[in-house]
Amino acid sequence: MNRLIVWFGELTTPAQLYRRGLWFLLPAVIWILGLLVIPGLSLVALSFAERGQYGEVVWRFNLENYARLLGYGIFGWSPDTILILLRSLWVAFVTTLVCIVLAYPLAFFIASRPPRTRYLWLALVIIPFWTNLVIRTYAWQMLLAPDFPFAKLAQGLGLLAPDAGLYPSPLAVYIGMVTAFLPFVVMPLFSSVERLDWSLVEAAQDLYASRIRTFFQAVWPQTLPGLTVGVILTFIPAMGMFVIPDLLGGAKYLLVGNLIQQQFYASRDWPYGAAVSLGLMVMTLIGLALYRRRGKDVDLV
Amino acid sequence: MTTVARPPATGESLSIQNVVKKFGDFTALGGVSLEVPSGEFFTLLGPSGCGKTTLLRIIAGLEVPTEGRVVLLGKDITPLPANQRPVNTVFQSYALFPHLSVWENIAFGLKSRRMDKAEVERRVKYGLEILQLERFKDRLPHQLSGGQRQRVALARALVNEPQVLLLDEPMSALDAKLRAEVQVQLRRLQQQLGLTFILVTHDQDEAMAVSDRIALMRMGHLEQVGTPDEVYERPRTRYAAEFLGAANLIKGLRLPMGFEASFGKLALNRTPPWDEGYVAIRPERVRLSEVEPRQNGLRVRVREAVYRGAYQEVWLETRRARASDELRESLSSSAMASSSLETRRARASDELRESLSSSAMASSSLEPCDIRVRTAPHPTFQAGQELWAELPADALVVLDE
Ligand SMILES: Nc1ncnc2c1ncn2[C@@H]1O[C@H](COP(=O)(O)OP(=O)(O)OP(=O)(O)O)[C@@H](O)[C@H]1O
Ligand SMILES: [Mg+2]
Repeated sequence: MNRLIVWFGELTTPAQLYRRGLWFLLPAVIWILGLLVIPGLSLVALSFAERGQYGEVVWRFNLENYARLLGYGIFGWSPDTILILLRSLWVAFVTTLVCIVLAYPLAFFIASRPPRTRYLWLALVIIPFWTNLVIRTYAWQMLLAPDFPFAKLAQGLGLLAPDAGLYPSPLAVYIGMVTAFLPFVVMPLFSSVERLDWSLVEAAQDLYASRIRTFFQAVWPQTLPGLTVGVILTFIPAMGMFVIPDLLGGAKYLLVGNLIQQQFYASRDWPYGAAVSLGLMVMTLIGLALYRRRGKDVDLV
Repeated sequence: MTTVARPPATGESLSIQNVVKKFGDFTALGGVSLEVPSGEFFTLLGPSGCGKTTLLRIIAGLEVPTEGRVVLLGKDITPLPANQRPVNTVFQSYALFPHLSVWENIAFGLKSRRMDKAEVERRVKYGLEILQLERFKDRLPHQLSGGQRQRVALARALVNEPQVLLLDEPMSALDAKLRAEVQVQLRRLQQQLGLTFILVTHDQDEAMAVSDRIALMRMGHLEQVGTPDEVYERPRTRYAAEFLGAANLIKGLRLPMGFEASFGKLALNRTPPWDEGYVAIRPERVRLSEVEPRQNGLRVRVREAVYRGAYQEVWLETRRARASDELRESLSSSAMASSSLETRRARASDELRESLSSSAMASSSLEPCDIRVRTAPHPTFQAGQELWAELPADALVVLDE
């Protein structure tokens, strides 16, 4: 192994490089080990344990938590937990989709502003972040309350019973989720749109493409990098979100985030909570894998 | 062989009528009018920033003119968006779709128009064939060389059989050898298909090599339009003379059927329209000899000669007023008497006035100039050598401005 090589202008041997590389990796390895691998493995271990009488963890290994996750309870099988999981998946999916649809015009609008006002507009998108998510969600509670114009309008149109509010409801959850996550899609998308090669758009127009075809062939592929970041930043947290469904969805619109939170707080059933968390993780990975598969062969129009 | 081309239509194809384009208060095009007949290879030539791309984009529909109209085959297409014009562009940057293969790139326009599958297949195959791209049809653009990309861009535009094909400096990214090759290919293709090509370039050799007609542009205006030899042999302005190849610009004063330069009187084929102006002559049109020519001969001295292989370039020093040696000798002998340069010059002009019966005094306001000559490499000339240069009257072009 005493072969000499030139590495960025430095004369060295592979063994030396290898050793140095390990040293450079060390902090990252410790970091990942301490904050990801060890807690993750303990979560896996925990999910096979059992809840004691007073909410303590009893290390008796069994698969009961996973059976419960699939709906097998003391009273036989019920679809509740599975429904919650699927609903979470659906809510995350719809939230992401709506965010994307709203983010495109917004990103293009901001990118087409003159440079001086462009960052002002960006700031407007980011400003909500200065307020805590919980406070923003409470604000939605107020805005959607029975006495406020939105609810009044819905009542007037006969969409809502008189004196009823727009929350708690699935709609309120979607509104809360979309507003919370929109900036996460707009920001990365904007960075892609800003660097868009407009000559491709012109080429598409020159080659008789309709507006839709121009978008999907000349714009969409170029914005995929930003869009992917946005989707990941939205989809994963949306899957696990519990503040918004808790405050805007009411008891009937439970999501998996709420379920996990319940186990760790109210029910003090940590092992089951761990099992649900792992279930969520698997679902998220499946969702992202689907996204990647679909993203690869985009040929819609 | 399969062919996609229509027989070339005759008459006027594209007509640009008084097109003005302003960006804010900057005028990129200041009233351009142009007629391009069907099947012509037309070239827009001009320096960087003169508005060539802007004009092309207006024809393609990618830019809206501030004023004026674009008429194609008698139909006003000014209000039509780009995707409804029977015009295709080969972009300067090629603008190939990076996520589509060569085949799909070429098929793009055909698919946009929802042509049936068999026809798309046939035309793409033809496009691949004619530009020798069959081997690359499954590659993505980033896996191609610059020249191959350029051919894909060309094929992508050509398979649509546009009425007019616009080419924006398509060869600027190619090396000199490949460029020459592609130029020939392009010209052949255009003649074979009988399409109207409008090429943008700032390379005058390229323009000369491929065009039926050339439009020379300058700061948003057309300076001169004509066949390559017209524009080269008969430039109308100093700008045109200097932009296309090298030219000797000689300043002078009007004479009937001639003019008066710093170095003497030259005969012309016509009387200049100005009192004081310029006359141009191409370096290769100046003849050098040991014996005095019958007309328009100058006695000159070689200042510098540069051997260039296929030719040599010679800079000739001209002399103020009387250039003939005999005259100079007689001058110097008579000047012996007078000590002052002033009297010497005055005396000289007196004598000249007699001998040439023209006013040499007027020419004293004209600076003497060097004449650049391009001539056969042999015999080689030496600096300092004295000889005769002939500026034939039919090679002297009177410039309008
Ligand atoms: N979108 C625009 N906004 C403002 N000015 C522009 C715009 N597009 C072009 N111009 C100006 O118009 C003039 C003509 O530009 P154009 O691109 O037509 O030049 P060109 O002749 O193609 O030059 P080149 O040979 O360098 O490509 C330039 O001075 C340019 O600065
Ligand atoms: Mg240009």
